[in-house]
Amino acid sequence: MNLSASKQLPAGLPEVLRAAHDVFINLTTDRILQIEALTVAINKGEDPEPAAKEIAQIAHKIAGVAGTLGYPDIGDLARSVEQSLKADILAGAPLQNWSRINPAIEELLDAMEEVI
Amino acid sequence: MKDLRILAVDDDRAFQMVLQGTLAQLGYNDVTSVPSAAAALKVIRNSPQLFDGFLLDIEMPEVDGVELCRRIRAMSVYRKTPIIMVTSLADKKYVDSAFAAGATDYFTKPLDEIELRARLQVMRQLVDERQRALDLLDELKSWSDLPKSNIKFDAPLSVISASWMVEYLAMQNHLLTLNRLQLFGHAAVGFTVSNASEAFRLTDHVGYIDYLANVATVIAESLKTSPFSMAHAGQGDFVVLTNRTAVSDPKGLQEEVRAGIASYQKLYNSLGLPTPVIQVGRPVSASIFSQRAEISSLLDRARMSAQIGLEDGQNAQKQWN
Repeated sequence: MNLSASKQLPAGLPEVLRAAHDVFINLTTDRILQIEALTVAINKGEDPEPAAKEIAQIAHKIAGVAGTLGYPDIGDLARSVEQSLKADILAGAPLQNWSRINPAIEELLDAMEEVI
Repeated sequence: MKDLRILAVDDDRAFQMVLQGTLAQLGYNDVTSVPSAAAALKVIRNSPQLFDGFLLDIEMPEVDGVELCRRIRAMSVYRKTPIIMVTSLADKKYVDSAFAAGATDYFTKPLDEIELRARLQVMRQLVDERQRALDLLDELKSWSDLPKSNIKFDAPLSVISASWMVEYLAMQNHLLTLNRLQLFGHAAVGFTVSNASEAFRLTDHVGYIDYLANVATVIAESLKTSPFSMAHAGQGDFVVLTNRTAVSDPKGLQEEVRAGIASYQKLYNSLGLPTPVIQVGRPVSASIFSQRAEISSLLDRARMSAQIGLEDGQNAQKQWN
């Protein structure tokens, strides 16, 4: 489904980035579902490390473009989630700060839902 | 001006398109985008034309950008092609390993158009520099005595193919990626050939490159102890970046370099070239509180110290005291 067909470009975004913007919006739905499923898996007590790594990778991609495409808040939230998860994974304790990271992920998902 | 042929590698489709759109806005239209290191290597192998430069995302699944950089550098045709790494702020710590793998420069995501433009200007300069070197090689092959209009005395030049020789721009970029502590551990030492302009006037391209390459080799042989990298900055000036404590006796180093050069005296005489007169500068370091501008000028200060010379520098120091 092409969700971007009815989506306006954010103010000030040059026309040359319209195609990139449309791809970003289309990817957002899938990414919301992916992050939700991974978060549920962690909360159920499954091995947190692969799930945390995957969420960090998705957040990394979002952080890399959201600001450029007119969604700086989503970019900031994604970067914060990515950095927190990577810090914990590197420390060998992917759930160390989960009580703080989980709400940050929820906040990111809420912001992403607003975009679509 | 010829359009640069660029290969961009990033596993995020949206970022690929942002990059391609922004590059098009800046006038770079010959851009190929691929989503992985494997796809990049395939495109490189199958491309009938060489790429002028690469933009590589650092964080990619399976083979990451640093490893891809290493593999591209291992191809002889891309040994000197500009490779610019693309990294998020969170991954900035990997930039050092990217430089060790042969990267030329980097920029951070999210994309900043001004930063991208600056990086591409660096890429353009390096491509031009490489083109000049290739032209020289052609001349060498044809044994022709062509005018030296495409070598500029003031411009940096890769004068010798050695693991320790880097491009001057790459050295400047590397300095800017070091954190304060790493920077504090480094020193830049300038070497100037004070009669280089005379040699430039008296010989052709190939002769001048040989002249500088010999100087670079003698300097390298005199730096026995620590690891170092060297760049030719133009005007017969060389800068060596090494450990802070590696050059404790610049005067002794100068004597050693001059003795090394003197052993080639007969050769220079037979070629009708002046024996290089080399001055060594005092090691220049950044303080732990250095600002970006001060770091940027580190190499210039090393060159200036060499141009002033150790004796004059000492007199100047006495006067200040």
